[in-house]
Amino acid sequence: MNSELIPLMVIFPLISAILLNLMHGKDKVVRAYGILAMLVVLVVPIFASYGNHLFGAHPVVDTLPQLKISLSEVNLAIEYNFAFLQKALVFLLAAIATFAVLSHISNEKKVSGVYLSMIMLSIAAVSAVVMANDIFNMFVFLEIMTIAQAAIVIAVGGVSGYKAAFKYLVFGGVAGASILLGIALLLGTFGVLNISDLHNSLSGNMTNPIVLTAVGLIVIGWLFESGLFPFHTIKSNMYSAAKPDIAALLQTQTKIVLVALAIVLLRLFGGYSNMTAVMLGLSVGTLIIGSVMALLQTDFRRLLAFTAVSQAGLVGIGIGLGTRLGIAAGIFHAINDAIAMSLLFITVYFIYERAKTTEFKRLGGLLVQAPKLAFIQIIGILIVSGVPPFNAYQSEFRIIDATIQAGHPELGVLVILGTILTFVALMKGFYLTFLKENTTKIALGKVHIYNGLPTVTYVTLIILVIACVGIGLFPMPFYDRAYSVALKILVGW
Amino acid sequence: MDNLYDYLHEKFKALGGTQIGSGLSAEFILLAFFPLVLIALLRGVNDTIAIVLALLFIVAVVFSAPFVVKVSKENTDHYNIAAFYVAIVMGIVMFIMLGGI
Repeated sequence: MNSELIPLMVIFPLISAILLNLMHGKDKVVRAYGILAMLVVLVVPIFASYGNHLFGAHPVVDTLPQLKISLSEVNLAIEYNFAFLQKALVFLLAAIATFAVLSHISNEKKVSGVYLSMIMLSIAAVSAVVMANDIFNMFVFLEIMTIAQAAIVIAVGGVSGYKAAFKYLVFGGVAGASILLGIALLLGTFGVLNISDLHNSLSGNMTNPIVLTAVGLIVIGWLFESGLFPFHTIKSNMYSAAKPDIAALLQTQTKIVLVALAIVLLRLFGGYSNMTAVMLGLSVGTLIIGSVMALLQTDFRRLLAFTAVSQAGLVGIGIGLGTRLGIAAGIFHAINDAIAMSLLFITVYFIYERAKTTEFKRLGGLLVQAPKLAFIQIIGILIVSGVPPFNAYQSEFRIIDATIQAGHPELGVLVILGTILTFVALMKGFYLTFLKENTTKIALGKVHIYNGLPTVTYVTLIILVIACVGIGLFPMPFYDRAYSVALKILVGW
Repeated sequence: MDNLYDYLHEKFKALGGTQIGSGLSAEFILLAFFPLVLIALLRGVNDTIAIVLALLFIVAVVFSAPFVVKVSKENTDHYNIAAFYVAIVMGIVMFIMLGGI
């Protein structure tokens, strides 16, 4: 147990990204290092002890009157915080990323060092966003994450991947500029970037129009990073253009960043009701439009992409309520949904790898050929739809409870409607893939979805199902921690 | 009922291969969504305004349904549509944040 391991969760993937880039072309070396690096990425958050890490070891210093900073003490160093929530999020990210890396290594004849490098870069970036207590450092890694995600999608090739990545980068530029301008306004007003210092500086300053402008700009950035309306089509396009194993990683990263940024927003501007109202309203819109769009899709990957977006809306509703129950339920649902949606994406990944398509008109009748896969997928559908005893039930129930406790029962009804629609959409996908009569040659003649799944996929699916059942049966260790985070946000960090 | 099915079939053609059942389910959810959002927004406002808006909503349903085709067209992957909504939302968010509402 060593707190010195905290920066390693960012530095090691960054160094690995550089090394894997240099190793590109040396197939055996890339394979060996890729597996080794993922093992390290998985193990470090488990053994790292809770605490803070100050880069450069700069102490807290007395105020600097010449800079007109109002605080009596200022944190000079870039600070990383590591507690249970950060541990859970970084480990979840590492676990899903490990599957993405292993599936690439086991399925491709020639492994791309650049591709693995971009996955490593995205892991480093998301880990930094989760832990950073410095708003500018957070922004820098958000930008790195955006570029790495676009690169991963481009690496798949194909026109749809290029188009999706291009749009993602253009709108990412808009959102990034928005966040940076917001940070610049805060820095210009208060002279600090440390989030705790900003929190202290902001108390009593929420009527300042410069601060309110900064809130709006950072909220716009949050909407993009979370894939909420109006950026939901951009995110869903990215998920559907990526290979489903990478889509699982991308949506996990989105949920993690959604929570990390929302915590920062609530810590800094939580008392500003207009901000939480915007977060709540756009999250409700995303939930319903995402569910409706999922139901209208004719491709399984796009169906799951819109479902993932609508579930992000559900997380946003919990957090946007701004109450202890709501924030705790939102954070809890982000973790649960990241696991459950990854499970569904991986089942579709298996179909995509074998059939080379996920269009419903070319699929059908796979139940006979792949009953195990069908069984796991139906479990995944039940999990995402909030059916007990799985984990998403625990969090969705708490979100509905939180809406009622907050005095918005109609939002609870909307959450239920959205959940029902999600279930209908996913069942439609299941029916058209596994149960519908097989009418196309491609599904009957050439494709063999064998009963035996590849070992990596099978083990991953089993682990994810166990995680969903485990958290569903014993939710309190996770929910209590999420609740204590919510308390800290509202009462004081 | 047959006529209704044919009518919806004709309308949903624009969605490109979406089944009638899917379209109808989505339509019903949207029909429930709009009044619920209205209730959520107007619960604190006086009854007269709420009734007027409810009547306006009914008129909108009669003349605009099915909504699902329009919603689907506004949520495609096209760059220009996304850019339009991003610009609109950015304006609205800044308006609300600066205390406009």
